[in-house]
Amino acid sequence: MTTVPTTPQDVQAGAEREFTVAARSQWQMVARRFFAHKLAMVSLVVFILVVAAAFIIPLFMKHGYQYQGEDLSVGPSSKHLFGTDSIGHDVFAEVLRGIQTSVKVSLLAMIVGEVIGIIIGAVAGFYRGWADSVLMRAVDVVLTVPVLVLVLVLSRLTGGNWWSMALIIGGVTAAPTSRLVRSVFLSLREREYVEAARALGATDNRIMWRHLLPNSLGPIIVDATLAVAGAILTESALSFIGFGIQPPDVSLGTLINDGVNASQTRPWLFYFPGLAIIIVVLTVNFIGDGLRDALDPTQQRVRA
Amino acid sequence: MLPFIVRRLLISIVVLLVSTFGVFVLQANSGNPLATLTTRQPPPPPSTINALRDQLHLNVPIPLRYFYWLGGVLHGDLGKNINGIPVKSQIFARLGTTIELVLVAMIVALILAVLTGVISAVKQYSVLDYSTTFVGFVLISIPTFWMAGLLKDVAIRINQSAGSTIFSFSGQSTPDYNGGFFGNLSDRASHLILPTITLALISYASWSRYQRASMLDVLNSDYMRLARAKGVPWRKVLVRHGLRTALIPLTTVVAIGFGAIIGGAVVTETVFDWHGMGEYLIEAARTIDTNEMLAWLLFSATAVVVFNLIADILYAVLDPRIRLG
Repeated sequence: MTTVPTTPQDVQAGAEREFTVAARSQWQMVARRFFAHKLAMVSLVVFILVVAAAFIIPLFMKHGYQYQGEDLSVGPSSKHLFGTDSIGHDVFAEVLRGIQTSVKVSLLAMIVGEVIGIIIGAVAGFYRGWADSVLMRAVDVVLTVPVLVLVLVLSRLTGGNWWSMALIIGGVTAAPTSRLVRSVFLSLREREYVEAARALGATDNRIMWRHLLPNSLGPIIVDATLAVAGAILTESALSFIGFGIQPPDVSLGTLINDGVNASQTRPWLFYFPGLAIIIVVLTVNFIGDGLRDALDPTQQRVRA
Repeated sequence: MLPFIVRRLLISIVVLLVSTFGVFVLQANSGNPLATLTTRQPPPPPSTINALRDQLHLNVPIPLRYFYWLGGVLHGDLGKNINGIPVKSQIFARLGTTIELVLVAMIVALILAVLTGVISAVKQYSVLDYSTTFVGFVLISIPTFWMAGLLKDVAIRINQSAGSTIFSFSGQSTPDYNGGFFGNLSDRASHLILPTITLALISYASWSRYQRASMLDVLNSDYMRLARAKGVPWRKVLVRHGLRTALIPLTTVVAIGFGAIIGGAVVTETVFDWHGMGEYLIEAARTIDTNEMLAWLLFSATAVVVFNLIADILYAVLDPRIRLG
């Protein structure tokens, strides 16, 4: 994709271009910087492996996560990698299922949250005036209520399947995203290329979605990765206190709730689901950090 | 300054009204709160249920019920819960419990975050910087409830190996315990320490990241170099010129993060069996008790609004370039 060099990234790209032979587009530069970020790359590989394992391994397992075997409360062994619980569930199968749930919920929540947030933020930031006031006061209202409360009340309305959880979490997290998008649009709409596009007869819609949105993608992508991490934590917290995924389905939150009081006698029930959440969220956070470095080289961040 | 505060307060009141109304409508539509009563054994007589229905105004349209509640609140009455107990008599003890937890955790987290944020910015790319950054990332990725469970597990093991109860992890104090002033104080402290650490660590992680980033911005600015060139000692430059400016972004982050801390407190209280606002919220959601929920929301949303206002005012106080208006 080629854009008029106006954002800081483009200026940076332009400066570097003087010293390179082949001209690279902005997104090639971003990709190069991301691939050079070791921690982010390792995280990306680990994340993909864990998610792939969670979706593929259950296909080859003899029993599903709901199967109750004869081994009750046994520790990790070659037969049950993560041990079993008191009614014979294989914890390994349950943890894989939990990762599946977390990934499905968080990705859908991220998409919903970003789409709603981008639309609200873009309209508010581009048109300003009363549309901005009305939309931002609405966002204020949502932000006044703690996320957990909104999700608690809404989850009561919809029941505990994964996609309704995702819609709720996505809808609630759209509020902070819309604020971010609005602030980016507010500053970009004053740029010369917007004026140029308008002089050429571009409609508002075209300016918003073809000129402003592509130039705001940097912060939006970073926000999206953080939204995935946040959605996993929200979903698991909600399931932990009994308002999220309902039995017989499992989530990492419900598994930890089952294991939290057994940490002395059967630590595997508590530690394995917890480590699974931490690995997934940690890798997503590192990927987000790498993307931030790659997309915004002017900001000083950790070198890896 | 004053007109700004007044205008912000007026807007805040509207925001509070809309948010409580919204949550009320959502919750009131999510089920029948008296459904659990009818499944009780032996079932209560229909007259009791009808009396309760009248008392809770369940037979009037939902928007009207909100105005009954609002009218009560303006007279200092928070209504009754589903079992007919006045909400006001339950909530203040719980509020005190939770405020104690949240405030202590926030103060601990703030001090730690500013310290490590500044140090790792000053010693950028040192081993210390890398390790605090890594630890920060890990802490951000740990769910609050798992952290709580982990600390509980570790505390039990420490207690076992020490052979005495150093840490307590159930409730906010030992029931029926009276060891005099100092005895009670240390009893409370031993109950407070684990939940506080849990909550503090979660907020600490992101706050120290922000503190580091804003301190780095400041360190690279010209006025720092100028102050140094004038011969002001480095430590003084760091604290007077650097830290003061670098604290400004943190005020917003802390204020905006307050809602998340409340969420974290709910989960933390659950794990450590505290009878605070967290337990109250979960109970209110489970029993579809709108009066309990609205009372909860009234306090938490007011706190969020007040914190945001304080952040804006602090902003103006710390940074003379910002004019409120």
